[in-house]
Amino acid sequence: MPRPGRSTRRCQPVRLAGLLALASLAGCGGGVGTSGVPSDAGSPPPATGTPAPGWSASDRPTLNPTATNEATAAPLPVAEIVVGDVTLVGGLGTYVIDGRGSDAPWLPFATVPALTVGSAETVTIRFSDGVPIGDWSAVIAPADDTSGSATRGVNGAALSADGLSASVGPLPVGRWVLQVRLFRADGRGDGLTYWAITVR
Amino acid sequence: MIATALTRLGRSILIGVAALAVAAGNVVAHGPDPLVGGRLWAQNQAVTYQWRSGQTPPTWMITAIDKAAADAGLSRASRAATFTRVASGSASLIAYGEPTGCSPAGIACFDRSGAPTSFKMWFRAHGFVFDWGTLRWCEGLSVIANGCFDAETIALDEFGHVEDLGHHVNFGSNADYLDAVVQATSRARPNAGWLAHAFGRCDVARLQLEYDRLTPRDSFSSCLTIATTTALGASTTSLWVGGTVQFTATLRTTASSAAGALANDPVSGRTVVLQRRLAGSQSWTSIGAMTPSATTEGSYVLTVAPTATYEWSAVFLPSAGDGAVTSTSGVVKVGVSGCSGSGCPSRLLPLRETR
Repeated sequence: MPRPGRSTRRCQPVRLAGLLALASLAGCGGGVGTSGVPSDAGSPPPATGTPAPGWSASDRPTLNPTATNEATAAPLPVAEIVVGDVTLVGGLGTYVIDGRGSDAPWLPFATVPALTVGSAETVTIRFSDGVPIGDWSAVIAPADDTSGSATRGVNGAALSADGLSASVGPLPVGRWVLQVRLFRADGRGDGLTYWAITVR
Repeated sequence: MIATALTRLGRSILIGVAALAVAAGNVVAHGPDPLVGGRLWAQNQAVTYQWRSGQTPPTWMITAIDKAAADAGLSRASRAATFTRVASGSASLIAYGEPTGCSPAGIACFDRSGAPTSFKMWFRAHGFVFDWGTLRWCEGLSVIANGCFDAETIALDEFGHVEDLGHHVNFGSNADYLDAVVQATSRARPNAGWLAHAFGRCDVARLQLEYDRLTPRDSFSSCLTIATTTALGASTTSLWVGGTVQFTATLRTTASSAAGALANDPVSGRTVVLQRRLAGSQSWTSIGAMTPSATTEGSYVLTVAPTATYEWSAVFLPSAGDGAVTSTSGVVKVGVSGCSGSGCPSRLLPLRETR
């Protein structure tokens, strides 16, 4: 079972069926949502949990969310995009699981795992831990919308017959942040996962 | 159509059709917040909290969190739990700064698995650097600036979670973002919704479904669609001209399980109109608003002196912003007979209404 945000597969180039371009994934080695930033997205983001100047060493936030994390013992409801034999775990934002949860803002384009797809492609999404999907939703926002205030729905959203994956697309040509919210079918929780998607 | 996709396994057939060119099922979007899960607090349970040792917030953050706790109580419009800080002795802890239980992208987080005994809440520290930027709490700035998060708003969101509110499911356009404070995407100043110091209507909707309203007179959240039943009874179904009959209407929510804690509740303080028609007619004439009973919740009365035989019914007319749905009682027929002889009233009275 892949570990959310830790899959080494994310550090490989992502090749989609019918792919027009390869997504070169940079910035691997960060926490959830820190890797997969395309080289054309600007400077790599700072490492997760880097304290602001002026903080003492003892103030430094924990980089490993499992080390002192009292609220995330259950598997995080993070999603992944599956393309052939390649899996791209997204950046986990807000989630709820087993009575615990974490609130996050919109995750901008430059800070989440990236991939490139063709204008006729659909993308398939599933929970990283493979649990069935209950409710789900998907929206996109332009890459330059850093607050998620210009979201819109997506075309062609469908859940697979076995409920284990969902697909969206084709997406409009452009650079988008795709936010997918998957609810576990067993009712234990849900999570918002983000990807930076370039559609050509 | 382009829309937020929101689907259920059971809608696979619909999805198959929709997948042609349509974002699948947004039918359950925009309703009461979902549930986090776990046990509820008791109705009106007074829950205390204290700062976690070594992680006491700065003064400005203390103010914001305490105000959010008060906001939750003031805007709950239900019998949800209330929150008050104490100096010590509480099983519920709120922490500021590291370590937290938050995910790497999270600015605040919660754990309500201890309900109805305790909860935990964490807030990232002002200045914490995320992949997406540096966290600035608006209350912690000497000069407020765009990009900051209002700590009171975020804390209210967390208290909502502690109550058992999950993140609101918005339309794809987020046009309904202001319907809930408990949002899946926290917004910074100046984006719409960054400053909210009261639960939104769809937060309240879930609180009412789980904890019930405070009193039978309170409105239902306009994020709800609560079915009602109106029943009508008459003190007599046969009288002489000049006599009076008292009609009593009873207004309740239905017993549907979908109404949760609101099921089968009396509904008081509403507008219930008595109407009549001639037997066989399809046209109703309103006679007047029935007076809410001062002693029985959900009961409305009106006394009239009919001059002819009519069929009567009562209709509940919800006011704007009330999430209850109109309902009409069954028909009650009251026969009125003419009178002759010494036992009759001295004169025939015109139709009059007494309350």
